[in-house]
Amino acid sequence: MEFSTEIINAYADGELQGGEKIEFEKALLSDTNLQQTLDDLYALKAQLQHAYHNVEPPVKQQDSTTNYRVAAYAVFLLMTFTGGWFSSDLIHNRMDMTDANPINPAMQVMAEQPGKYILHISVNDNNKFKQTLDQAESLLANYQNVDQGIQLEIIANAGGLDLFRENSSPYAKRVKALSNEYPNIKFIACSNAIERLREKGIEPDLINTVHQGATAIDQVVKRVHQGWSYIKI
Amino acid sequence: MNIFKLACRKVALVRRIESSRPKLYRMAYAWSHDAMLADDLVQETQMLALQKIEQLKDEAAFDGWVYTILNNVWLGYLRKSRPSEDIEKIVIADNNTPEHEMLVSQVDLMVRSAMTGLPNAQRQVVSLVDLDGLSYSEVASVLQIPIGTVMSRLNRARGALGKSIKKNRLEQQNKTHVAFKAQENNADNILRVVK
Repeated sequence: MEFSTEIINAYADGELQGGEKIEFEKALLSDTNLQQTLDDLYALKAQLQHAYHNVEPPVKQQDSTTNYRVAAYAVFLLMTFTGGWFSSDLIHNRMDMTDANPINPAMQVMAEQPGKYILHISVNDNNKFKQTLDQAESLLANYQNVDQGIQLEIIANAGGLDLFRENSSPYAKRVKALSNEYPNIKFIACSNAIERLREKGIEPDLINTVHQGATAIDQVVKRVHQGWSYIKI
Repeated sequence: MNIFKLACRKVALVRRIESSRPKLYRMAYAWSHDAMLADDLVQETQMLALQKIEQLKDEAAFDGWVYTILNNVWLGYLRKSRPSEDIEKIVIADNNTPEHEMLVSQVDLMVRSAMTGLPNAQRQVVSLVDLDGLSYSEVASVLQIPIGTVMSRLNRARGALGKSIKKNRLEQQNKTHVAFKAQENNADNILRVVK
């Protein structure tokens, strides 16, 4: 009996079931061509797996702290859920009552820590740059009368880094003004993005109030672990 | 689910997203064959996963869920960087540098080279099935295509890979043969001079 190559593939991938599988295995016992085709297929699958088996992501310095951060986050969550949950809720309710609160709930992740936000910009888009800074100013304004105040970080990677570059940012003056006016706002440039530019022979010329930090993903994960709200612009 | 369990589940998911970096990177690399781009794609994927963490209802579907995000990020990148091309048919550059070649065996290089020649749609299917062992239905869900399409793309991909690897191997054997002959001739010439 002839089997299509799709069926032979399906057998090799463990996708054949019941009667089809029994029929295939019966034919396999006597059909040497089928055996050869199947062997070739297994060999190809093995070659593919081997060709990429040692592909590893670049090493990150922060990896060794992961366990500590997750453990700290677990402790924090327990504290939040047992003690601080209701007060946190109250503050958020106060925020939600104002029309000025511009945060789209769908764009937020985890808000166990009231007043702690990390905004993330990853595209070179003037409208998004403006939106990021508007969002930051709006949050700062909303929290100015809240006791605990606000801590805000804006992290940029990939194309978003241009927001923080002296000669590329249409909002360089605004970034500086925000840094000078609010000590509780921090602008962070992703170390990967900086490295990428340097690899291309481009000096990032960051605005002097911008910090060079960890990679964007590490910073976001760290803050999410700590219960900050994450907002992707 | 009580609050304690909810908190533990969230911690476990954040941890799982973070620890999925190696497998996501391997897949992103197999699709793009560009180390820096793969790192960026994975970073974007992990961030989106964190952002959408509440959307994952069934933890057993975690792998399919993160690969779906990776696929969306990858397709978004292709749409932006190569807007005039049909995404399904895009082939990628074979970026093997001399450094790469020292670290990767000849056979692996041949296989990777063959992968770069596949249209994107086929490269994605064969990577998901063979590098991470996803089932056909999982691949169909990740790439949002029917299972029949998964099967036909896989079939074409493996056929093309088999042919390309065989051709490359023959070329390599010929090169080795020519180099060996040249060495033999040189040795003969030296012997003649010595005599």
